[in-house]
Amino acid sequence: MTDQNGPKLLAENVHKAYGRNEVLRGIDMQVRTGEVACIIGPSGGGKSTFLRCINHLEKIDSGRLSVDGELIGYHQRGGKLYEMRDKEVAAQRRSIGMVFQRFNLFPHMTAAENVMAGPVVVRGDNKKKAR
Amino acid sequence: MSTVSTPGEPQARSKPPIEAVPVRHPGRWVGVGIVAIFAAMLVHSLLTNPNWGWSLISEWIFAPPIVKGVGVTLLLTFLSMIIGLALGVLLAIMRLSPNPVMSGSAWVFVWAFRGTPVYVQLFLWANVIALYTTLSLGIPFGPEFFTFETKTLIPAFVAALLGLGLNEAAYMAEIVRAGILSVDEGQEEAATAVGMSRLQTLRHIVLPQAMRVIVPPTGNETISMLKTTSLVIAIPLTTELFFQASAVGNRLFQPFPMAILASIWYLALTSILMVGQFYIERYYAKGAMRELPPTPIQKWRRRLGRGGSND
Repeated sequence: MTDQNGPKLLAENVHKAYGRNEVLRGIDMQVRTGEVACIIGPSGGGKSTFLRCINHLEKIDSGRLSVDGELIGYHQRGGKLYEMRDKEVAAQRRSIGMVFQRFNLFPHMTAAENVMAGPVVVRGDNKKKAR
Repeated sequence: MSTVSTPGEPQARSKPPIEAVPVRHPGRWVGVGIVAIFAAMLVHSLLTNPNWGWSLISEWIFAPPIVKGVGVTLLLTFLSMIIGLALGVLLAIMRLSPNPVMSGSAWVFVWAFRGTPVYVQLFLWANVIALYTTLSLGIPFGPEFFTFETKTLIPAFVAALLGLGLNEAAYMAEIVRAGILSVDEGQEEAATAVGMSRLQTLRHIVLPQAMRVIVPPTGNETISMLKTTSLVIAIPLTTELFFQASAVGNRLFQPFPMAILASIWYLALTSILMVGQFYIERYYAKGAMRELPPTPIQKWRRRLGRGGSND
């Protein structure tokens, strides 16, 4: 299903609400390979929420989100959506980089170990190679 | 010889050290005097009152039944703590699981085992024979393949381990849960974003950081467990330290010196445990403190190196 010529990131009519607080009301966005996109807005405007949705740290309420033409968090078969297993979501996240607002570095590790945590723990790379 | 330098000509200044008379604290000396008098009274009575029975204590302190009792006490402490820790971690993870059956059953376990006295639990484990005379291996509600007599399956030592270990697990579960909850939520999120699974996140990111909160109360629990082992008389398991010491005391009609003897052993063992706890805590403080607390050896070295201390 991967579409090489399509947009890198595609968001169509993305909605997300926390309880009755609607944060994202129909976001449409396209980012092509090599493009740099900035999302600018006041605090509480939903920038981080949108980014978290792209990583499936938050589930969207309606609309579509795909990276490299691959739907985030769901499989689509015969017009029906199936939730992905945790392992599959984790596999998707591995190819999406993200830096948090407060960085959320792991304080019990060194700087190098922080960077290596992904490849070593998740992919089982050997430590020397990761360095 | 002093030179008064006026501001504006910094090159010509010398730097004589300040020589001031320190503030006197007469109140402190009064306090020291009072404490010293009490300490002297205590030492005097310890040395001169024959009823302490120091000669008896020194005669018996390394006697075979006592030393063997120390061994049983230590073995009970460590095995029960291992059971408590392993089961406690499992219960804490169950308790935090999104599955309500898991978290519910962990809650019930903690509720039951924390809510009844250890002494009573030990008694119940010893008398489980009264409840189930045989234990069988087989299909639940179906045929049985092997059948054991409970009496042979649960000797006194195993009953003691069950009682102490399961009770400890309930407390450890709450300690571990508190540790896990103390780790910032962002950590779990960041680990998830790197693509770690729930288990990987727990093992590599959350638990190592939770250890800083878990270790101090665990040391506390270990010390507490060492002393709780004296309750296994409820079973009765008679090989542990305090029972052995008081048995000797009763035989010699000298129960008091033997209780002191047991206390000396307990104090010695807890002191060793405290040293271990200090170094384990220091190890897990990595990343949480700018500078690790100095070890006692480093402290003394610093104090001696500086000459006079300032306090």
